[in-house]
Amino acid sequence: MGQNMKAFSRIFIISIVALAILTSFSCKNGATGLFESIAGETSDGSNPTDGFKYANATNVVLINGTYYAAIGRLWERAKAGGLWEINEAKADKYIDSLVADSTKLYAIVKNTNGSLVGIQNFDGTTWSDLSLDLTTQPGHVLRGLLAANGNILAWTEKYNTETTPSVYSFYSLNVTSFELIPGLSEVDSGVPVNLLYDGTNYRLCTVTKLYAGATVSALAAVSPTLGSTALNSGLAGIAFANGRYFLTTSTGWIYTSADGISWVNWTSGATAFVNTDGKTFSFKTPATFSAGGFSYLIAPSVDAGTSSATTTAKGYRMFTISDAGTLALVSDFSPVSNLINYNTTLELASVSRVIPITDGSTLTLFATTLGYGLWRNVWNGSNSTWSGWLRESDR
Amino acid sequence: MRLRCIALLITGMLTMLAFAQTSPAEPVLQSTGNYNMFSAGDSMLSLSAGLGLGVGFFDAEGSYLEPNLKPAVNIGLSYMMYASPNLSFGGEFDGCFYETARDRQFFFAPLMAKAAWTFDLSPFMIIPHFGLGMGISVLGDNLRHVDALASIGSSFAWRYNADVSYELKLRFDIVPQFYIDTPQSNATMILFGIMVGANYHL
Repeated sequence: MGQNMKAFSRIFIISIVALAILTSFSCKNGATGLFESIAGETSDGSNPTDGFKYANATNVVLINGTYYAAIGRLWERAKAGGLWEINEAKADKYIDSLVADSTKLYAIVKNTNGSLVGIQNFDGTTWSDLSLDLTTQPGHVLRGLLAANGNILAWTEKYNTETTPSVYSFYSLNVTSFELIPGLSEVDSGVPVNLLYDGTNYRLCTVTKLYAGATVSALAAVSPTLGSTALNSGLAGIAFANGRYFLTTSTGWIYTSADGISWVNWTSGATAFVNTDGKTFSFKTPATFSAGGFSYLIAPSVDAGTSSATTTAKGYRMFTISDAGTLALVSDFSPVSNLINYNTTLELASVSRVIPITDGSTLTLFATTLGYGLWRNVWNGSNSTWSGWLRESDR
Repeated sequence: MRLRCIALLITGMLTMLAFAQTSPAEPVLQSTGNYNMFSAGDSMLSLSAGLGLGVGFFDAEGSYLEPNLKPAVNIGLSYMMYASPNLSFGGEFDGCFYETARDRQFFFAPLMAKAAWTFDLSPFMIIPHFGLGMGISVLGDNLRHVDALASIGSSFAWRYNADVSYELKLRFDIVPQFYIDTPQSNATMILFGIMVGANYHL
């Protein structure tokens, strides 16, 4: 054996052994140990088709004992459980927007070539057409539906130019026809995000403005501020719980307010939320819910990046809400989930929405995702347990 | 990615075979009392591929936990140098492409120094080995770790000619993972690999 080769072999072996010793102990770069995370995985036994597993889901509603979901087409499954299947009556249609009141679902129905069929409602048995006259709003295109406290709103967009913002009009459902809300005709609101009823007033959140009113017809723009700074961009959704409003932004911030106008950071000295990789959260509309005597807020986040350099964090951040309406971050995601359940489910997904649906003593959270299917997490009030995040399935 | 690795491996094996066949067909060398297949200074390059299986984990309290790993594609490259007709030292680098029960990608790459002993039962060889090194783990997008690794196993080889032999390799990798800040997250992973490979006698 040549002397050089001998020396090389010795150096190689010594280096490997030294590296092995050096790497034996280290600190975590994640929330759980790597092997601990794999060993802690539990399969939920679901085996969806790839089409369902990697689908975009946009909303879930509960009508007369059946869940309906907008996942391209209209899907349904029994409240008691089972598999999702496409609603037969609309099997050849796309569902563009889905909302509900206490007895009916409302959907924008389109043909598979993208042409508009119209807005229809469904009570579990019968589909009915609803009218929306766009002739008084030339250039407007029907875009979406919003719902709160039994009020159904439709909104349309008139696209101007790349340098001139679109304008939007809002319509309120009156029995079977949508009527233009005079104060919300061709407003430069930015894209509407969500409609909220706080028990007294309605709040409409768009990406650049907040509106408030005692009725949906009385909604008018307010001037939200963070200290002395106007809040007029990147708004991602508004929620309300325990006498406090919560506002998320697409730039990773969460604000709270007592009146929905003067906002403060969720906690003193707050910075934008980033994940363990340092990626900023791009929040969507927050969801609030109560279970077991505690109130919670979940702010979902999507990867809004258009390139690897601009990716944002997936998953969500979760908080408890005190009786006084202050937020406390729950780093381990308990009791709704836990680190390993979260790491192996929604942390991997662009979560577009978390939808709490209460039915008796059972609270079901549905999480819709962009390209990673539909998920549920069930609070069983009878034995005070959460299921953790489980994938919904179609087979 | 896996298909690319397998294609690379098959190409490598075929190349070895082609090299071996460039020399005229040689009679299989028979072991005699005064002939050894290897002598000090000889070396052997091995390329192998096969199946990786998770045996399981032991948590910080020593309890056994299910592996939660689907069977993986393993590929490996090994270089051993003989210090005597039987004793060899060298190193091995592998790549193991696992998927967890919840469909996360788990890449594990052992890099180790090895000592092996060759039992020459011409035309067969049994080569048990012991290795010590490190394992590089990457789970999903954001969990990475480097840990110490111990490996034990054996190759069962058949000598095709003086230059080339083919082997079936069985191996256990034991990978303890320690965290200073959260010792409750400590765990030990045990993997089993069964691989076939081609050895080129340099």
